[in-house]
Amino acid sequence: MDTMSKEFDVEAATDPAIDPAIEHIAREMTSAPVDAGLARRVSARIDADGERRTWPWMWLLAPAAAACVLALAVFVARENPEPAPAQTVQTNPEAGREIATAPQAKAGPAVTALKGAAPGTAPRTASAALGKPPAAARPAGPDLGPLAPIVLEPVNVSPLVVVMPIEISTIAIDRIEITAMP
Amino acid sequence: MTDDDLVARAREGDTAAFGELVVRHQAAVYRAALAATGSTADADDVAQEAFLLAYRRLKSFRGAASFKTWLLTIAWNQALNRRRAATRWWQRIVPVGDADTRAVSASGFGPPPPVTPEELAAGGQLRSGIRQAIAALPPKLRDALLLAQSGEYSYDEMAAMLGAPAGTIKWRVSEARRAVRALLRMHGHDE
Repeated sequence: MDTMSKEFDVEAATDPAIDPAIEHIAREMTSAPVDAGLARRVSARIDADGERRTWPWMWLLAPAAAACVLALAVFVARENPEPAPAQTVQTNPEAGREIATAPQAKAGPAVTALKGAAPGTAPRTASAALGKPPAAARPAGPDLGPLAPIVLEPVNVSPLVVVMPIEISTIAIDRIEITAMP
Repeated sequence: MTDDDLVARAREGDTAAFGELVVRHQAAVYRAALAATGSTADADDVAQEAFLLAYRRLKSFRGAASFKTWLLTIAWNQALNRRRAATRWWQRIVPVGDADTRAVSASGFGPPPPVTPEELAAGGQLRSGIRQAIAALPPKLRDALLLAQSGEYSYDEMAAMLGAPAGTIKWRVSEARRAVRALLRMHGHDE
């Protein structure tokens, strides 16, 4: 390789003489052989990438399904509202009167309106008093038969705070003698 | 079967057709990556990334240019990203004062391999000097010179890769040779 000898005159190489050496070295710098497994590795990565790209859609399915279930639940709940526990009225066929299980503070007026009413008219009257749709409009459930009345034992609750009388003894102050100023 | 036929089949999901495209163009892609990064390991990574990216973007290939040109453009951009990342890394590692060391090392074209006595006798010093001079060139000149001398690419393909007109690429190649000669003179190779 004569063109690459050290004795080469570089000044003269401004003419095309040294350019072949430069081109040769430049070609060497990009002439590394391609790895034989490159195509195989590319194929493997494409396959792996294809699998990975399908998974995000699978991950999207879970929240989408949850959102659908939630929307369905809200829709069903609005179509068929459950009565609140305060409006629950149980009838006692034997006594011919109703027993309200709700706290007196909330269900007081409704229960008052139901006192002494006929057994068959009690639920409708209670619903009307609360401004709710009549219970008869709801789909009929299974006939569970008459329910026994719930008997509540009176509970005696002692007061939580006991006030103890406070006795304050008188404070005895001795006589103070002050001498006259000179 | 032409590249266009293989591209059409690959678009339909035929990975074997894309594999054939990889085999056809892997040398061109790899050498472009090697010209940009100067590292065989980086060039291999860049080539894989470029093929993977090309496969993902295959539906956006309109055929305005040849598939090879389109693929080379993707590969070159990937290689430049890798080179910029390496440069940033070197800027953190090498102190600011060592600008020459940083420029040569970040380019991936480090010092030449050890010279054997036989190579020395056959002009090893000049060879080493040329390698160092090419590594020290500004990136635009070095890229044009290495791509042109690799013999893999037409000037139109290089113009697409480098984003400059073919005439500009030819001027850069000529200017790179002139700069290498000047660097050789500077380092006493004209004695």
